[in-house]
Parts: sequence; structure tokens; C-alpha cells
Amino acid sequence: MVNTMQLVFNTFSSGLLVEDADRKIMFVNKKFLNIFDIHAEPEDLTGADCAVAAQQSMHLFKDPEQFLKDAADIPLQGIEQKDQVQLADGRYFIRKYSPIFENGKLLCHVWNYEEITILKNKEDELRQQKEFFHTVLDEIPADIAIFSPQHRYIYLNKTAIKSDGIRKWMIGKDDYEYVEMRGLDISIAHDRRAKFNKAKETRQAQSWVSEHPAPDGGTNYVLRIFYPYFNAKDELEFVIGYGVNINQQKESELAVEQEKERFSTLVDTLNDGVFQMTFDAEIQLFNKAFLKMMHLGEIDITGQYRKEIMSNVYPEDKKLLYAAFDTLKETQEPQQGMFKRLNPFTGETAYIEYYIWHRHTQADGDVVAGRLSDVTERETREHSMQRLITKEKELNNLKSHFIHITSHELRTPLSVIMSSAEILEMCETQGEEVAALIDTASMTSGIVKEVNRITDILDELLMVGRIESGKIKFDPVQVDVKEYIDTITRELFLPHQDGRNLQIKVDGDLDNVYIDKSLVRHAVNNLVGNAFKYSPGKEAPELHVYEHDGQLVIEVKDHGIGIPKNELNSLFTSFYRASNVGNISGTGIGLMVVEHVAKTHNGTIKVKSKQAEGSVFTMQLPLRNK
Amino acid sequence: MSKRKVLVIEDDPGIAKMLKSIFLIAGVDIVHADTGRKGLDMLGSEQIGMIICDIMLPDIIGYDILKQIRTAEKTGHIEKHTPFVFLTAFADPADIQRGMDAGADKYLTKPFAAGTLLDTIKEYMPDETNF
Repeated sequence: MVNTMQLVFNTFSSGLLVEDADRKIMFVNKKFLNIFDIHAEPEDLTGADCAVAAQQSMHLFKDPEQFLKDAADIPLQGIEQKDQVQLADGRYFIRKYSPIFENGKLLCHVWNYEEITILKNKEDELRQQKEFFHTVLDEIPADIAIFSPQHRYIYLNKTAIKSDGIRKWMIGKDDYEYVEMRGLDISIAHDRRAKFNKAKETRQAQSWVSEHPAPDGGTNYVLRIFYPYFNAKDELEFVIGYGVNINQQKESELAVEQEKERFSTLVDTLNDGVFQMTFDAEIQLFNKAFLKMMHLGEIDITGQYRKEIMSNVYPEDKKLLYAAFDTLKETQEPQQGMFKRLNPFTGETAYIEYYIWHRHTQADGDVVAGRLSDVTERETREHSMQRLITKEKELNNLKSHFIHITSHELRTPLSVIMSSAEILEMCETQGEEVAALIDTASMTSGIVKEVNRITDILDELLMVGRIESGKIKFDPVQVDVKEYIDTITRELFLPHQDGRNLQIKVDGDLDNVYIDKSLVRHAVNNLVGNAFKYSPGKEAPELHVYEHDGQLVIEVKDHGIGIPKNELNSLFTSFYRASNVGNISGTGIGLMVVEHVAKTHNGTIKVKSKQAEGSVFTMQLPLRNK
Repeated sequence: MSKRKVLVIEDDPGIAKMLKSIFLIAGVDIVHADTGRKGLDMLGSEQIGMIICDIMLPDIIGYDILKQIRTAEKTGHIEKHTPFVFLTAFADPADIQRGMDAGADKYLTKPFAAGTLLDTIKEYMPDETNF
């Protein structure tokens, strides 16, 4: 029986020692002997004293004194016990002590040694690893927290929460409890919960920058990220939250921003417009002056295309700019020129000089850079200078023309006067025979007539002088228009020297009209005189006077040569004579005087004309001028 | 042979009247036309010894009248060279040059002396003058 039990016990993987109540060995298995390196058969040890045996084998334990003490004390306590012991050679064992009683009487003590060295080493390794990772996580300069899918803290590193106590407290809590504990604003918890939920829903990491007051009074910028971790079964296992202080990045970002701002402030102080655009004509950079020159207002045009930017450029110049742009693209040669840009509100034109060139930048690759200068002032000055020069030239031409014409106009009456004088002299000197041939009275009256003609020309000239120096006297008086027109036409044109009779028509009872009689006489004389002069051999001119819309209308119509359409505007300029006057003499003064008369009366003079058909001059004067 | 006449083409009635008076005193017959067209017509219907012509005429400019006459002479429509004198207010050297280039025999400018005119007639129509 004993032998059978022995064989059974020997199959146990743990060492087994049974002592009797007197602490004598009742039984020991092979494994036990193996463990303690006892070279004997189990049966040989039966009856040996355990205290002595303990003494003999104490050296095998890492802590021999403790072993000795345990061996003596544990059985005295009379209860089951389990602990760990380590041998001097490093092996670990679980030592289990069990007293066995029968009817209240101690029967025996059972010692069981189960080796756990491998397990123990594994545990140690795991512990070390855990410590290592904890250290690593704690040393990482970032807040790290692991959350349960319910957004409760599972883990926090030391960077996140320095205090061990709080850190421990946090486990199992959520941010609402955290902010309450710390007395923080509840919105922080709201925000984090929203981000957390979004990470969960989208299965994507969520990141944001949160700002916290720093102890030094500044601001800490923390880049926070929630990263949802899904396991192999595609279940959300946990969410990793980490926060990195990005003050440095923020600072350099800020520095770049400031640098950019300083640069753009500097660029904005330039009077010249500068810009950069892609070769696809998309604007990338521009300054304030650029906006001003393109008349775009203070807006952000980044990303807009040339078509939008050039909305105010004159269409014909737009084409030129496109061509310059394309040439630059093709040849990479700088292009320059000028374009006109409209201010749509004022209708003013700005002249802008441009210079565009090809540039290679690290950031944007090949781009078009450009500079614009507003040269409106210079251009306007040049234009007005040009206009002045043209005007000056025109005046010079007119002056030469005038001198030529006037001398011609004067020579004819002078000839008559001179010849008349000579003929009268001949009558004196060559006797009665000659005198009988000549009508001397007609000679003298001829002289008077020609002197009057010269006087008229001189009067006209003086009139121009007076008009141009503003010295014309305006003296409106009440007239009976019918009577007045009768008088002046009789004096001037009835009949005209070429035998034709002016057709006169005065409508209405115009007896309470106020005009300057002398000035209007001048005007009528000129208009009717012209009507005769420029319609030789044609139907007689017509003078029609009537009232219309509170105005006195004096209309002179002829069937003469007419006036070329493009010259109608120049007609009232002094000394101007239309290109089709041919050999018809004239000084080019008359119509200028007419216009002046109209203006002085606050009236108007208009002309309608068709070449080879005739002209109609219409002068309108207010009925009452006082 | 009937007495040849001076053709005066002049639109200004005052000048025309003076010329008539001067030639009347000189005993020279004249015919007067106040347009170029009329003047050219008279050239065909009258015995003309010389022509005195203004430049600024209402219908045909004096230079063109002269050109037409010279062309007619070349083509035989007019038998022989008719002396042609411009009497005009255009007194610029350029105007004078233009007139002479057009084929004028003489270019007189206004205002003119009666004596100069009479000398010119004597020069071109010595047989018809009695002074």
C-alpha cells in the first residue's frame, strides 16, 4: 500500500513532504528530493527529523534564516498557508502548507513545493516591460490619454497629469467630472465630447488646436488629436488622445505671419502696383496699389483670373495685354507697354504702364511677375500739351489763312479806290474829251462804297477782337420784330447786288421782344449775306422769323453749296471756312460773330446742311432779354 | 479787219466798272464776263486780242480758265496764242509763280495802277490802242 502511494506521489510535478505530528518525515516524493538535490531514495528518509533536515538544507534557500523560522513557525499556527520562496540558485516556488486533522487531532503536515520559476521570470519580464513603456509614455513630451469607447479615461501619462493622485483619480472618469473637479469651464468638456464623438462616427482622427493660459501669462497652444482604434473585429476598442504643445510652431508661424505682414505693409506702401500670377493667369500675390490701379476696390482677388481682374481695362488694351502675356509665356522675354483703365463711376481714364517678366520661385515654380505704374498725370499732361500744340498750330494756320484772306479781301476795294482816283485824275489832266466819257459822280460814289466795304471788313475784325476780349456791349431794347426785320433787310439786301430778292416771312405779332438791335442786325447780315454768297445762281434765300416756345426764331435758308457734315462743328470757330467754299471770298469771321450774338442773348444757333442742297441756320433768342 | 477787244473776266462789279472806264478812256473795246464760263463762251464769239482775268471767280478758278484756253490753242480750237493777264488780289510770290506756271503772259496784282494796265494793253495789242 505504501509502495503504491509512493509510486503515485512520484508522478506529481510538485515536491511533496508529509510530516507526522511529531515532525518526523512520514513521506517524501522524488520530485521533492530532486528540488532540494537530496541523493537518497524516498523510503530511506522516512522517520527522519524534520527540524534536523531543515537545518541541513537551509543553505539551499535564498533567505536561510527565514526558511528556518518558517519551518518552525508555520506548523505551529495550525492553518493552511501559501507563500512564495526563492532558492539560492534563483528558482521560485509556491510553498503550500496544509495541516491535516482527524477528529480534531493533528494527523500530519503536508508541504507542497510547486516550481514557478518560468512563470515568475515571465512576470518579471512583463513588469519590466510595463515599467519601460510607462516610463517612455511618461517621458514623452505630449499629453497621452486612452479613452474607453464611452469617453472615460483608461490611462493618462505623467505629462498629461503630473500629480499621481489626480492621475489615479481620473481613471474611469470623464471630462465632465474632470472639469468639475478642476473648476474649469464646462464648454471644454462639451468641445472634447463633440470631437470625441466625431472621431467615433467618422472613424477618422480629429485634430484641433486648443489655447490655454500659460503660467507666464502667455498662451499655450496645444494640438490635440483623438485617434479611434478599431480592433480586428472592427469594434472601437479605445480612443487615443494626445496633445502636443505647439507653442514653438505657433511662434514661428506667428513670426512668419508677422514677417509676411511687415513685408506686405512695405509692399503696400509702394506707389507701384506689383503682382504675381501663374502662367494660367491666376493671380497669386498683389499689393494695394495694384488693386487701385485696376480699380478693383479693397478686396481679396487671390485665385481670380486675368479676365476678372481686367474688367475695367479698355477692350482694345485688354487684347494688347493678352498678347503681351502670351508672348511672355512663349519667349520668356519681359514685356512692357501701357494700357488705359476706366473708372466706371467717374468715367475718368487712367493710364497705366506695365512691365511683366518671367520668374522662377521655389514656392510657386514658374510665374509671371508684374509691375504697374500709374502715369495718368504724365499722360494727361502730355495730352493737354499735345492739344495745346495742336490748338496753337491750328491757330497759326488760321492766322495765316486770315491774313491771306483779309489782304485779298482788302485788295479788291483798294483797287477800285485807286483806279477811281486815277481816272478822276485823268479827267482833270486830259481835258474835256476824256471827262465826257466818264461818269465822275459814279466814280466818287464808288470810292465811298469801297471805303465802306473796307470799313465793314475792319469792323468785323474789330468785332472779333472785342468778342475775344469780352468787350461787347449788350444793350437789349424793346422792338417790334416785323418793323425791325423790314428795316434791316431793306438796308442790307433789297435787292441783293446779284439781283435776287430775299424771301422774307415774319409770323405773329412780335411787338414786345427785347433784343440788342445792333448785335442781331450783325447776325442777320452775316447769315443772310452768307446765304446769298454761297448760293450763286440758285433760288433766292429765305428769311423766316417766328415765335416758338417762348423763343424768337430767326431762320435763314439757302439752296446753295451746303457744308460738309464733318465740318459743321468747326463752323463757328473764328476764321474757319469750309473746305468747299472754292473761290467764294470771305474772312471766316461771320459765323463766329453770329454765335456770339446768340450766346449774348442766352440763345442758340444751330445749323442743318446738306452738301449741294443748301443750309438752314436757326437762331433762337429768348423773347425777353433784360 | 475789225477791231479786236479785251476780254475782262471779273466778278467784282466795282473792279469791272473801273476797268471799263479805264479802257474807255484808252479807246480800247472790252467785253466783260462775271463768271469763267461766260468768259470762255465770249472767247468763241468775239474777236479777242487779250484776256484780263481774275483768279477768284464764283464758278471756275482763273488758273483753270487759262489751262482750258492754252489747251484749246494747242488743239487748234483757237487759232493763235492769246495774251493772258491775271489781275488778282493774290499777291504772294507763290501765287504769282503758280499763275506764270499755268501759262500766263503777265501777272498783275490788286490794287493796280491804271498806267500799268494801259502799258500792258499797249504791249499786247499795239494796233488797237490810240494812246
